Amino acid sequence: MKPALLGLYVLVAGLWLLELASGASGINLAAALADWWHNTASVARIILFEVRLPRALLALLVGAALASSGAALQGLLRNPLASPDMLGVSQSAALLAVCVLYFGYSRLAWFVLPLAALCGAALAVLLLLQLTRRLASAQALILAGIALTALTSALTTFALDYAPNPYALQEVYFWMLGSVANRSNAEVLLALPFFGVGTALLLSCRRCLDALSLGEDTAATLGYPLSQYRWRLIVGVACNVGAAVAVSGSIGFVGLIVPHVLRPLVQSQPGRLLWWSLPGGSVLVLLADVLVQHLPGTQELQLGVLTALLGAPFFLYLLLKQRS
Amino acid sequence: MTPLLSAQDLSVHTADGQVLLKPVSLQVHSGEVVGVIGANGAGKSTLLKALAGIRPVPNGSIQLAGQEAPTLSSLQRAQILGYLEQRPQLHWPMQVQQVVALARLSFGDRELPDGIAAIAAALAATSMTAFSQRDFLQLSEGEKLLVNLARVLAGAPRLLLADEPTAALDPAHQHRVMQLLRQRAAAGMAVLVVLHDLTLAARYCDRLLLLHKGALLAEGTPAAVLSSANLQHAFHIDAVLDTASHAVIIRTSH
Amino acid sequence: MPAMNIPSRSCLSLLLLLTLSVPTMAQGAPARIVSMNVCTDQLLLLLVEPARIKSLSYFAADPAYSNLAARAQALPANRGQADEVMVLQPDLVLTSAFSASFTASVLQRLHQRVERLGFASTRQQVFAQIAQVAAWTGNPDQAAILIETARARIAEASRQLQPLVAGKKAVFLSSNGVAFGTGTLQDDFLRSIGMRNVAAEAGVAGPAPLPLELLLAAAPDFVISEPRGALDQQQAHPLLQHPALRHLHPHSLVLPERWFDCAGPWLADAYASMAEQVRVLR
Repeated sequence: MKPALLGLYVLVAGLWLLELASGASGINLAAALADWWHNTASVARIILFEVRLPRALLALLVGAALASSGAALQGLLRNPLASPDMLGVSQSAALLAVCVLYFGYSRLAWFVLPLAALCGAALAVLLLLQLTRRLASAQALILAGIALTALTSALTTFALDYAPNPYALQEVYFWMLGSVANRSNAEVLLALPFFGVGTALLLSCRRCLDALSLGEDTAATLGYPLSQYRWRLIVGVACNVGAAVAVSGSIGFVGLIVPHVLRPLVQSQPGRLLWWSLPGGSVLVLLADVLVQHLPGTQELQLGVLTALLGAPFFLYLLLKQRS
Repeated sequence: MTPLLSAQDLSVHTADGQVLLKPVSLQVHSGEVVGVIGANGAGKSTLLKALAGIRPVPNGSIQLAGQEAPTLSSLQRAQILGYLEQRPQLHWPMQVQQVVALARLSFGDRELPDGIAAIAAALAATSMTAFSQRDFLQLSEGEKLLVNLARVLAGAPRLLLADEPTAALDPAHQHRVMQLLRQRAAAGMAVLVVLHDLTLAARYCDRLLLLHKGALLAEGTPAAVLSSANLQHAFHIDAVLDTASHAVIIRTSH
Repeated sequence: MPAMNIPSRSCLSLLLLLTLSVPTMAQGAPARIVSMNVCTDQLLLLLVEPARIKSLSYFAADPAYSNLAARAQALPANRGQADEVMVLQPDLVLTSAFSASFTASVLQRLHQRVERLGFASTRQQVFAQIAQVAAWTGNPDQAAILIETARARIAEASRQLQPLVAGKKAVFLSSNGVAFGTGTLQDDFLRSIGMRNVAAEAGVAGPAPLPLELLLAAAPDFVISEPRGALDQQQAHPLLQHPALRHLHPHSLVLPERWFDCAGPWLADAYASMAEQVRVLR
């Protein structure tokens, strides 16, 4: 394994431990682990296993899912500005999740909520694929993404406003900016199968993404016609983004920044980038979540605020670099 | 001897019924260089794409290395056939070495000795070895084409389909590419190449297929196909082929 | 307290206002009273006969927010827009100090009498507000009766509660992880019956989010929340529904927030209900 990749995994492990050690109550990790080992009940043990562990796991999984989806979308659409939140994929997932959650349908079965989010994400990707066909320019795709993002965000706020639950509208920040706070192990188990399937599907498309560097036609002649891989990519992205949004809202910039930063390290190979985006995404989200818990202030910020603070200036820098 | 490539009644229609290619039958044997010529819009690229398995799906039947094309998987087809498209694109900044390496995807040996050897050999054949570490997007059009040709050769195809490989090249490079194709043919490859330059076609091809408005107008040796009557009909030029120099000399055009 | 920000359409409102005559100050008790806030709505319904109430905010008839929703059904509702208020030609407009501030200032500039009610964070302030609104509307006697009754009920319920809950830890949890810390009526409530407010001890000021870990570390004996509707979901109550809370086995009590959100004698209902629920637990 390349040393840089190994370094990424080490960073993931380190940040994960740091995340476990972070929280509003100053519990002693060692004491909590000792309690668990000796099977004694204690508040420290409860906090570690029921509050911090799911949070750390979700940060890790959501980060990997969003970053790999970003890498897959960039490879599929051959556009470095593509990512789930830039193109409205996350927001579409959030819209369907909100509709299902606040109008009661999510109670029908455990998988209804992530499935709805998944459908929202899939529809968005399908729409974008169609647009790529018709509009040859990369700019047009981004504009379409901006329009889709604006539309779905507005519809989400609309749906929350009309939901029977009077508290719904206050939760718009969660859906728009995302958070992994106050999650439980139930959410981890809910999302895990979707992350697993999604990541497996995306990883099976690595060679196709490499071949696509030369364009769809040449990729077909190299043995990787997009028609054979398209559904895997759509469903893969939808599973990852859908599950991530269902449990943690729409966290922005992860799918954009991580592939960009890692691209030079993999010599722009889209297939390798997919692999590297997994730990890369975990690093970013874990880092952002650790910062969110340590920043001074009376209330904890939403995670998306921090990824935006890290990502938006970077995005502007990218645009400036493209011009020149 | 079974032809490496053979097609019967190959025709291509668009979704709304427009005919891009009328029924064409052809054969290419290993060891020969067959040229496809015709005016703009005659259907040359369409023919090549149909043979390469790129959309739109053609009517008619195609056999590759004796097997019906539909029975072959995309990967099997990729290992028999190499396709060099008219305007090769690259969407990500990569080095020349990596672009050429993409040919080995279907073999799965980009990092393995066999693949590395094939890549090196292809770069050497096109004289692009010195360019291996260069950024592809920074190269000139001619250099980019040579890299793509190297990419196609690195896949060790038995059949090579090339769409106007000489279009952006200067005369010296044009001849070098055609000579390279002839060498490959001599080594057993079957080559089907679309050319716009009639002189090159006359000089380097064993046989020519002349397309006119989506249909096959003539087929045979360059001398037979490049008759004044055909040149008049297909290209609207009053010209004659000089068999000694292989040059097509134009008297007037209208 | 739910945010009651009602935006006003400035230009249109001003145009319309300028075409209407400015109402004169009534001598004696106001006869045409308009309220634009659910707290002043309820006090008005309590103290003043319906004939003198010309309009209430649209929350007044909503049982989720208003303790006197039934009484408000028959009365006209407003959305806090200056034009709809002026059309009624009121001689007194009541609103809160924190909402519809633009509308209120527009009305004041047009020489309309606007009285604004602050936020009540102790029992004393609650009684003072009842008296204040009564003074504005000219019903001081009713107020006195209501205040005395409420005081007595609160005293009785406190007497019953003190021996049962003194020294115990409790927390009021609202939606979105918000708890009621220092400077809230809920905090005053708990301290008045000798209980410890876990949110205040954890450093929460006012109604603000309480980190789940701090809630767990504090291990409250009682968790007090709104009655939960059929469609409440995970998101709305991340603290209440978190599996970790199971491990602490706190007693779960239900007290509607509308008893605390607005000043009124219904605060006594909160005390009485608390006493009843705690007694049942024994």
